[in-house]
Amino acid sequence: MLNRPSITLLALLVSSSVFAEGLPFDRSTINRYSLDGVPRSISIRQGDTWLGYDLERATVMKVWRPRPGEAGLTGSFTVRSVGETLFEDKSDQGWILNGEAVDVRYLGCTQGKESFVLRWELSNGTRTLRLHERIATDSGDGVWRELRVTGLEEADSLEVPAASAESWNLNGNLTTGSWIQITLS
Amino acid sequence: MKSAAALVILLASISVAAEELELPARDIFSPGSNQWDGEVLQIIKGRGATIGWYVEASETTEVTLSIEYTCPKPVDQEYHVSFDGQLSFWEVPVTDGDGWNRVELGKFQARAGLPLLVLLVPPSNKKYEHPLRFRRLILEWDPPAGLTIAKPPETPPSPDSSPGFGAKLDALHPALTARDLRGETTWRVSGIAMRGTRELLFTTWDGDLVSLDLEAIPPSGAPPFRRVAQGLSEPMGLAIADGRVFVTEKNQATELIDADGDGEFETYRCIAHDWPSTLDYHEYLFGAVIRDSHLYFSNSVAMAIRNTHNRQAPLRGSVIKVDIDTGETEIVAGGLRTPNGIGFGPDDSILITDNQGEWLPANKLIHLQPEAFYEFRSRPPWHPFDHSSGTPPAAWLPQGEIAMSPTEPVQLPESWGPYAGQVIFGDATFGGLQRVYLEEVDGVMQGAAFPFSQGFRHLFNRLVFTADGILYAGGIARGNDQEFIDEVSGLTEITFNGREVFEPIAARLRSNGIEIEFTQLLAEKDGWNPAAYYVTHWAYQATQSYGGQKVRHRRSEVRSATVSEDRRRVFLELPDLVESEVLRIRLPQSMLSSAGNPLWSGELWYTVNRIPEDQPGEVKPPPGGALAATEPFFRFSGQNAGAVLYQNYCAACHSLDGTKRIGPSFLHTRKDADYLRQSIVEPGAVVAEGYPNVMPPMAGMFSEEQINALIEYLIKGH
Repeated sequence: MLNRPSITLLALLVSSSVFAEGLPFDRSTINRYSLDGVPRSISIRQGDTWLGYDLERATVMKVWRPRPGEAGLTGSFTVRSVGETLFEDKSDQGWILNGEAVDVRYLGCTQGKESFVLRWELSNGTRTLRLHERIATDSGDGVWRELRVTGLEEADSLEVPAASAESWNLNGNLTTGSWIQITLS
Repeated sequence: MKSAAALVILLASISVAAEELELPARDIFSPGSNQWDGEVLQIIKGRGATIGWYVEASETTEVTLSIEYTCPKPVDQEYHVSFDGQLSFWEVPVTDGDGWNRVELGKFQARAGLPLLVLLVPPSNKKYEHPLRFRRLILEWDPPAGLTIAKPPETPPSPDSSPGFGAKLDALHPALTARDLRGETTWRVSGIAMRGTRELLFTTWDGDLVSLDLEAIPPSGAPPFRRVAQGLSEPMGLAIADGRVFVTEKNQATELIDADGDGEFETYRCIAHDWPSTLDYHEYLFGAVIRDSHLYFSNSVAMAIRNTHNRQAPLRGSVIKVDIDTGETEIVAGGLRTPNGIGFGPDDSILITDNQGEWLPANKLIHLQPEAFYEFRSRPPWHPFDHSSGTPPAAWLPQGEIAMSPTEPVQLPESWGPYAGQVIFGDATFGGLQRVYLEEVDGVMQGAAFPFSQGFRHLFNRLVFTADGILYAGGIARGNDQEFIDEVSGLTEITFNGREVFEPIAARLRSNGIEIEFTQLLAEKDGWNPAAYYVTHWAYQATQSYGGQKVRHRRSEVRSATVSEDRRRVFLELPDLVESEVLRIRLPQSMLSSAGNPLWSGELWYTVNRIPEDQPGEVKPPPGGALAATEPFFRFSGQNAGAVLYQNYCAACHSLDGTKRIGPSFLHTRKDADYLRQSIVEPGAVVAEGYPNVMPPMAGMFSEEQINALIEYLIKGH
């Protein structure tokens, strides 16, 4: 029986640079362990802030700022966010396409030099969209990210999850297929 | 005339009353921690009790089983009955007042001529209210069959042991050359695969992907390991197809993509995650192989829930098949527990190892079949492939005898001489490499497991061959002690050096016995004496209790032994072969090859799923003088029984000399028998400070004699 080697503590290094030099997916900036009790989730560092995503809902579920000198994540093979909460979505609400909830399929992620990209497929049974989310390594002031949706038609209505709609400002129209900035208000 | 006969039959059926047989609570094997109240068993703590009886039927008949019980409060989880391996589940109705209630537990087929084990099995989770009292079970059936309570078969004595002969091997197989590829970092290897002919890739428990150029390994010193990816989430499998790299992580199957060709993977493409996950530490995706553009792996079940509600997320314990291009996902089979190994076997078959525990009375080597169910359950709702009878493994791997935590199986390549085509697997607790010869009988895969080699620096979790037949074996440590991690983790290069070794190489079942093939000619006149083969056999019955005892464990008659004309094979005539049992065959250390070589190892475990029809082995009279024996082939002093039990079951986690392992060393534990007995039977009762509470109760696996022998050894024997 393979019993819990996971007891080993994995130090969560605090990196002074935003994305460490060298290999992508440095855990000091991208942590793919389960966050805050959500099995399929990911934590992405943007400047001095962390964004936590629920990959099965295709949405940001928490934004928090670690206390000075702290990593902002604690734990080993499941992690918890630690710091000042700037945004939190504990609901189970997701994306709505033409009035219908969509099925979400997580497609993966890519770490680039200056940003990190997440990808999903959204489907309501008749239509299938691709959702891309880009998180800049360094946001300057404020917390923002970018969304791009492909496969939408002009007559379509795509609504972001309700909690995001309340707390984030969408600076553009998703139907264009271009990157649209979304800013934490 | 017909109507008269029908009338007689009708009258007979009216006049003959059903027969009854009482199975008293007082006659069960072991109450565990539960209490007697006269003839009544008051169940307080289900775990540890063995509520069972043997019965025997004079002819095959259907029986109805009932229970007399009281239960004033609801029980959180179902009991179940295992009648000779047939199952029924019992959601216990609450009773009123003090009177006894009688309810039917199920109908079963009682086969004739064998002691049949009847088990009433309490729920397996630890924390639940348990207000059940019962005084007897009742069997009913129609005459003319007769049923009686049978005396439990006496466990056959174990011959004295030495490494390879009843005890674990303790040295490197002479045909193998091993090189420890330890570097400055101790890698905990969780997945391994070849990319091309010279690049070895492996994942680590810590989430790295590491590359090793095999042609750049220096003659001595640390190999040039290079990390090429990081941040993986508890990866436990790695597979490569056409240069594409696939990893099975905690919650998803992932393709690692290096789109810009800089040698580092910047895209982690999720190819599948279509099964529920929780935060349980034991929910992994185990192993990874690719066949026909599909990735195959298994998802293990949760373990922490055993202490609470014992509900698994749906589809846990499945074999999963994913199209590596489209991500289309299919559940192939179910009923797995800790399937920490998947690999290819004969004829492109897929083999899976699974670890002993609840619903697995022993470890398994499984031949994957579509929609099969391999028997692990927790509680409803059941897995969609759950069948009333499970699919048996190709080979049972008895706990502590040939395996404890079997890992990845791989098929040996052509360059491995007499072993080519056979399967080996590692073990994350028992250590070493074990070898399996598989054959197909009536369309069902089955075969024999042989001890192959110990003597490596670390344990093996993952195995891969190069095109040249060099084996790379990676180890993974449990626990959090760095010294222990350094001791058992790492990477080893294993080469087949071609040295000829005398040992049993294969075993093939016949209608009337078993044929054992050897790597070398037997010495003239050797092998003919049936007294030179100590054969025992038993069955397993899967229950929701952890592990399981051998059922009907008994000695088998070896009626004759016939050596083939080429003196490479011996046919043992076994008149009492039974399907769905395991044969354990011990050979004597005195057996020699024609060149005078002694056996490297002298035992095997053969799983009898099917007995072939009309394929008898040839029985011949022995040549003159072939039955002469000046010394007994086996001795039964019992002196090293405790030492063998310690070595086979305990040594992986508990040292004798103070060395720190997963559990406390016996050097530092109290030397009183009561403490040691409790530690064996109910290890969670007192947990040594600083150690995790991970040891399963062993009461169901040891006989009383074995427990006594082990305690005596731990107190006096070392």
